[in-house]
This record gives sequence, C-alpha cells and structure tokens, in this order.
Amino acid sequence: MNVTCWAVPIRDGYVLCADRSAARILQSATQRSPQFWGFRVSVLQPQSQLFSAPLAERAVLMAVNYARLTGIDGQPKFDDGRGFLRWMGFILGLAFIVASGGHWILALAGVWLLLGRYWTRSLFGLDAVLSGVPLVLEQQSIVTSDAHADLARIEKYMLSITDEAAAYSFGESKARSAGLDEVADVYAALASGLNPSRLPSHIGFWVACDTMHDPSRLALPSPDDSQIGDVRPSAFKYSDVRQ
Amino acid sequence: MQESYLNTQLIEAFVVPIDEGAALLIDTDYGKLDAEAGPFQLALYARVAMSPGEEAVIRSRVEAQLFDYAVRMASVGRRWLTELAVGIVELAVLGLLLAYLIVNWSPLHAVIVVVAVLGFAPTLYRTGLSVRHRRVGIQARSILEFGEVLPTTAIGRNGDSVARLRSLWRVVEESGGVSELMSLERQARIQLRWTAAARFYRGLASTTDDRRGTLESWSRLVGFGWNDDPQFRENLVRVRS
Repeated sequence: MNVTCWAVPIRDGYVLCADRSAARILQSATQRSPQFWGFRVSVLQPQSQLFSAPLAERAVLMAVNYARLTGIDGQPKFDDGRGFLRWMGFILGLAFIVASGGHWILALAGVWLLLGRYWTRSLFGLDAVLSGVPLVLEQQSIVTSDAHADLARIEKYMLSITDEAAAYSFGESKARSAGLDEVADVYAALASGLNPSRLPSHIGFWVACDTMHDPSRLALPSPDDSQIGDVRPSAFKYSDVRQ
Repeated sequence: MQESYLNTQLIEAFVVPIDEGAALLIDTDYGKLDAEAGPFQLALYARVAMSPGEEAVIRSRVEAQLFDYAVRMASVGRRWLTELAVGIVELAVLGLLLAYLIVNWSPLHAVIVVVAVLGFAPTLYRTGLSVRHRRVGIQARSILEFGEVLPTTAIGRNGDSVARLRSLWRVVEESGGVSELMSLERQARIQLRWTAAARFYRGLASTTDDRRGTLESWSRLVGFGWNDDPQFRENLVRVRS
C-alpha cells in the first residue's frame, strides 16, 4: 500500500497529516490479501528537511493510524440506489395489495415487491457486501520523503510575509487554489490563531525543527536511499505500529 | 519517473487541462486489469515534469480509486446463476401481472401497467447488468487478492496518447490559457474521439452544474447509472498545470 502524508511547513516546524487517500486505502485493505498489508509512507515536504527521521516517523504513523481509525466506519458503503429501490418496492407493493381487492395475481405482485424480492435476495446473500478480515498492521512500514513542488512554492511565498497570521491566510488561499485541501485546512486552523501544538488530530500532528538545532540527527531518507527497504542507515530504527 | 517494467499492468493517467488549472484523468478500464499477470504501475502523461512528491500523491490517489473500485465491484456476478434464477422469478411475476392486466383491460389498468413496469424494471435491469458484467466482478476480486501498485511511476510512452494530450492542451494555449469545460469536452469527443476524456469533462461539468448533477444522481438512484463513478468529486485529483 502506497500511502502519502503531508508535511506542511509552518513557522515552527511542520504539521503532519495523512492524505485523504490514506483512509480509503486502509479501508479497502480489509478486503485485500494480508500479504499486501505492509505499507510505504511517502512524506511530502518542501525541499528543506528540518525534522529528523525518528520524529517524522512517529508523527507520520500517528497521522496514518489516525486516518485509519477515523476514516473507517465498518464495511465500506456505496450508495448505488438500493435504498431507494427498496422503498419504491415497499410502497408499490403495499399499493398493489390494497388495489388487488382480493385478486391473487395483483396480491402476488404486491407481496413479491413488498417482501418476496428482498427475502429471496437476502436468503441467498445476493446483496451482501464481501466480508473482510480486520486489518492488523504487523509488517514494518517504510517511510521516505519526497519533495513536492507546490508545497515548496507555498513555503517560499510564505517566508516573505512577516506577519504570521497573514502568512497562513496567504498559504491557505494558495493551497486551496492548487487543490491541496489538506494543506489549506492546516493553514486555515493556524490562521485562526490556534497554537500548532494544540491542533486537533484531524488537522494534523505538529513536529518541531529538531535537525536544525541538532545536525547530528538523521533526516528522513529520500526514496532513492530506502524505497525498497534494503538500504537503510544503520542507526535508523523503524517504529512499530502493532495494534 | 522511469521506464515501465515488462510484466507490469500499466494504469494510464493523464494530466489534462480543466477550467481551473489541471486535473488527473485515468484512461484505464480497471475491469480489464489482470492482477494475476503482474503488479500495477502508473504510467503518467504530463505536459510538464512532476516533482516526486506530486507523483507520490497521484500514485496514492490512484491506488485508493483502484481498490475502492475493486471493493465496489467485488460482489458483481459473484452468484450470477442464483441472481439469474431470482431475476427469472421476478420476470415471471411481472409477466403474469401484465398478462392479467391486458386480458382484463380497462383504462385504470394502463396506470397499473406503468406503475408495475416502474416497480420491476430497475431490479431486472440491474440483475441483467450484474449477470452480463460478471467478468468485471471476477477481475475485481482478483485485484483484491493479487493486486499491488508499484511505488514507482513510469513515463507514458504511447504515441497516440501523447498526441491526444498535446492537442487537448493546444485548445487551452489557443484560447490564451483559459478554457471552458464545454470546449474541452467537444475537442475530446469530436476531434480526438477520446471517450474517457469526454466523459471526464461531462462528469466535471455535472459537479458544478446543479441541475445536471441532480438529473444524474436521480438516474443513478434508479439504477440506470450503474457504470458511473459515484465518487467523481472525491476522486478528482487537481494537479499543477
């Protein structure tokens, strides 16, 4: 599973939040073969790498896990009009039974529409959604970083604005026009005066710029280093997301 | 971006112009992908080079769409013989009712005939589609069991596809950087005969046109839009133009 996570640049570090596709990917995972349950998380950030790998990983996995836990409401549901058809059948069935005046053919059609059709379909499980198995994230995830051109551009624009709230408002409008809704939501929350450390979980998780203060800390690896997972820095320890 | 591997199933994605910038168009029928033949890889056709981050977003959004589709279609035709049998029973009830109404004809029965057809037709139609498209269900279940999307993006190399994309962008360039969805749809449908693009622009227009959107959601409700994507807006991926 290829999951992406946004590292939205702010004044004091980054806010990490899972892309909206993450919840959908993890939602469909329950129907997939468990051999594909391992996931690669790509952290989308501007060119600069200001937070360390362990810190980013923890926050990324928290963000992805949050998306998994909140984005899933049991089995996936798709409204393909079945509810509407059921109600229409119910009303028409009643109408036929009332209008039958005791004649068996009209009454049969009414009973079929009212009950027969759905009883038969549920008896044979024709409308049943395929049942999946509960998702257990046992395989270690691979977390890499990727530079995102739009994020870099937004960060560059924002750096030139001294007022914090104005910069976030500007960032929000730029992100919105670029179609980066997750990024825009983060800036909107910050523009309203919210402290990054108090951001609600559905907006994102704040990480500070720790590599800036301590250059010995490893930055998040680029995909060239560790996309497949064979080449990793020796000191690099991956977090486990065992449930 | 890199060259595609030999055994991969390519999912062709195009960065096409829309009225406000650009968006991603997937021109691959997920129902025709064979997950058992090899992993899936995204083949991207874009006018400008994408940054690795943009490619990663596109990949994960496409993966989400693909597996959403597979989950939605996995139950299609799963028990098609039983479904066919239930459909025949339903057809028999409708036939009996219509025969009775026609034999004992009266003006009131004309109304009942219309109502009866309205009550039975959508389910019969859906049963027919489900039986007819049972192969789609088989492929969807195969995607869920064996499907994997590679974490790399291939460069789109198909000459026809490149040419079609170029001529679509030319419409925007000739109109001074701004273009309406209607003219893009016309270009895709009439000049390029690119069905997927025409359908994409029509779908995009319907999400902004309330009346058209309402009509399409009603047609979907009664089952006639069975093949439409009910999550068009959610699946829309805006891309840098």
